[in-house]
Amino acid sequence: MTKRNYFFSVVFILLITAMFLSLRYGAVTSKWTDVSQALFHFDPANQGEQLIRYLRLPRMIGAVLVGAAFAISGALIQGITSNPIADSGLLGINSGAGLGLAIVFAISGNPSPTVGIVGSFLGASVSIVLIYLVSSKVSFGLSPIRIVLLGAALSSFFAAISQSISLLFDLNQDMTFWFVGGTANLSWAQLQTIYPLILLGILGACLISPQITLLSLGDDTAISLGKKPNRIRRLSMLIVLLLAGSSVALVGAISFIGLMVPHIVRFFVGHDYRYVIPASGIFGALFFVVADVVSRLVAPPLETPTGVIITLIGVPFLLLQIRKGSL
Amino acid sequence: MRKRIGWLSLFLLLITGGILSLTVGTIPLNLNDLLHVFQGTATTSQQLIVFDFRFPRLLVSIVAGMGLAISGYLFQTITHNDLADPGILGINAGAGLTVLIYLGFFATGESSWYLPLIACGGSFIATGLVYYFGRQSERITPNRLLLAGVAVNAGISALTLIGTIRVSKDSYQFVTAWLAGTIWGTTWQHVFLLLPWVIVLLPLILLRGRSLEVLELGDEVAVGLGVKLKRTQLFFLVCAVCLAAVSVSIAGSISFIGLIAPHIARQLTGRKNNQTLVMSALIGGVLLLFSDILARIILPSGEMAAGIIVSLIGAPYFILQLLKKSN
Amino acid sequence: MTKLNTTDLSIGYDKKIVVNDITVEIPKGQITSLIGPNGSGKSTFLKALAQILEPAKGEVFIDGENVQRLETKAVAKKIASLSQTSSLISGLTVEEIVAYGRFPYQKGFSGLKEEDHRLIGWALEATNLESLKKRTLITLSGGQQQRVWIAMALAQDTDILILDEPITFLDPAHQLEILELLQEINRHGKTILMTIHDLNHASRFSDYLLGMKNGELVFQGTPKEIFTADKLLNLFDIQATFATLPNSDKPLVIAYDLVKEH
Repeated sequence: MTKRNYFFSVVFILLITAMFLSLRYGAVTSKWTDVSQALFHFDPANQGEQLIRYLRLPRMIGAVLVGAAFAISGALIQGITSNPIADSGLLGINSGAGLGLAIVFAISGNPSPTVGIVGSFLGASVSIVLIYLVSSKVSFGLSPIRIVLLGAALSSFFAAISQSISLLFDLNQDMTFWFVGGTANLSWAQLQTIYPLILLGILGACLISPQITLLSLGDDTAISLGKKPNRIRRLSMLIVLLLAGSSVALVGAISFIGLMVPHIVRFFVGHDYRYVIPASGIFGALFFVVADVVSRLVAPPLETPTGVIITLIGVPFLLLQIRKGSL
Repeated sequence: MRKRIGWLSLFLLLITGGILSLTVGTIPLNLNDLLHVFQGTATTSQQLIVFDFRFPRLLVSIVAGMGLAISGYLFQTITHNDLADPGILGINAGAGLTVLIYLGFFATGESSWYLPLIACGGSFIATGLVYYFGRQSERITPNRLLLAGVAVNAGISALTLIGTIRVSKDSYQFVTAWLAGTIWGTTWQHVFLLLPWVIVLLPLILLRGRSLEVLELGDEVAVGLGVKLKRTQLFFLVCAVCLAAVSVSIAGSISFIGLIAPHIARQLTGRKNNQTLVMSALIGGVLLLFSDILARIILPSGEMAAGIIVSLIGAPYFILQLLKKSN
Repeated sequence: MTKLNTTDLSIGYDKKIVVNDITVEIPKGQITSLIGPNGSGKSTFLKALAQILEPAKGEVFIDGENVQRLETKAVAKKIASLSQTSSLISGLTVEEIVAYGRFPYQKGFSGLKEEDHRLIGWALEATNLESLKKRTLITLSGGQQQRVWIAMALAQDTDILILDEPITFLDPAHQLEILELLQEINRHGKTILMTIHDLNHASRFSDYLLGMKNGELVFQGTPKEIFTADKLLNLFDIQATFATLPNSDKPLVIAYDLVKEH
């Protein structure tokens, strides 16, 4: 019990710290006075404050939301597929969303956030529906590795189509930059359109979390306790759609957060999803914010996309887990 | 009976495909022209087109398709998992990244003689990584290998995507095209780089065909029947990697052939090993051949990537198969 | 007749020793049953004998030669083994599976020879599968499937048959079916070694028993020697009551109680 509370408080404090740090650090290190002014007594004429309010603040908030969203969606998927190696990226959901966006980009050079979201959503839903269909056919008794392989197949499928669209419509490398994942182009406008969706998703996830724990006991047990497993799964997939779809629309296709964060978090708070989901949320947010700051500091003034940083951490982590045999 | 129809149709398809491949393109030829070309009585430009461009391309697509199909068949048998595709082990990704690094930072000129060799090297490094992490006390544990493959793949793909942002526009175009599976290696040089592998390895594999069959019964049963498990697995694994790596290095990053060709072959021939293997190879060759033909004619101007066509056919077929399976 | 014995055999998984220092000779031409509580290392021991696992220490000898130094096919011609898990194949017919038993004898591209066909036919007959030979495995009952694997082992034409829990998941009738089949096979001169949970089956159908606990061989002997109250107490922590089957000297365990913790 104490481990759990300890975890929540420590991570929370770290998160707040990280949030402030992300306002201060970047290609240019801002002064603390600028930061506090930008937040509380904003002076539009001050350049230093402008930087913070218009560029860094939306990025920071976006990072928090998206980090939480990806992590929670990963936890959800792992919960409903009883698959410890599930993640929205590995299962092709991200690539699906990315494809939707690519199509949108191809049709209308520089789409508005709303249009982008629609595209991203449609793409993500295609993946989600497919995965749901396939795994429900064998009542989610599909071995984890098969779902992952399916996801890999879907990923490469969507990636192939995205590539060809990119070639055909001569979409420039900027779109690839976006694909790879980062908060670089995050604006208030985008944030305003999307944050309600993410918040809704997070709320939904927290509400459905006790049911997920029941699911993990096995379908038969869940049914004998009066639950309807498939309904729970459908709802969860919907929430994943909300979370992953909007996050990809904001920052591009980022994998591994959904995979790593729940694993790490389970170590501290146990396997009850009532705790795993919120814990994944704040830890995911922390993770992403830190990765975002790092991405700005690694090779200034160039930005290394956040997606790279996360993958560079995620893959070795995953490989080590595999080698140790804990996956 | 099914079997016989299968062989017959494959044979016919090969011939038709061959003719189509030679006659179709930006400068169309008809059968008459083709006859003249073979008799040596056509115009020099027609001779050039057929013998210097289309014929080698025809051979490359067939042989690469065969290589990928055989590789897929071997992987699926060793890993006891019919969802395995050579791409899963990082072959495509490894080659892609190396090609990118080479082109982006060391040289220009896609027709570089070294490119296939470099790509191959990249594949081996990637597979080595996967093997290292997926290995468990000398035995090849299928699930771990596949998992490690997915992880390494994801990592390399991410790095590659990053890389494509940083390189010149030309390199970007080339690598993207390569990643999409454009058959770029279309000179006789490339044919001779590719052909020996298949010609040498295929008979060796067929000679050990029975061991492969017995492996399908299960690892322990195989040992009980006298199969030298470690050695046999390693032999087939190395063959599979070699075949896939060379095919991919010359024909571009193509997925799904190794996945679906064996499936289709098995449906037609049951599990009589050597027959199924050869049939897979032919199906793979036909698949890639026709995908390439389609890729050349489907757009009003310019070409599409063969790999995309394969994905467009392959992925839905694969997903349908999964949906049908009641496991 | 092939001799199978071990000296100081120890086997481990990932640094954990599961079978410890076993020296034993499997009696030739007899049915030997391996009994012991769950986790005692019985399966592991069998796997080492069947060359599936490598020993951490000690040796397994076949006809005096160290198994590790023999060709895998050579071993397969002397020992046939049936594991617990063999459920990977879907579409193969009975005949095809039994034919795989000839694998250790086949070379290169050659198909099945006359001798092979004869043995396959014999194996099918001995296991009463002649009429089922064209059926696919999944269409058969549990008992029938087990017979198919035994037929494959028979086709291997070995002196020794090793079976890991061959009847654990079968219903009573099928259990007897298999046990009687094994007896029949033994009468033809084959040595049989198997693990078994049901003590009475072990007594009734075996000539010799090996008792394993915590990776060690705690005793060996005929059922009459082994089925005593203190030996079973030692092995299974149960208090057993005995009787004898009519017309035989094979002991029966008719009831047992848990030993209360003291």
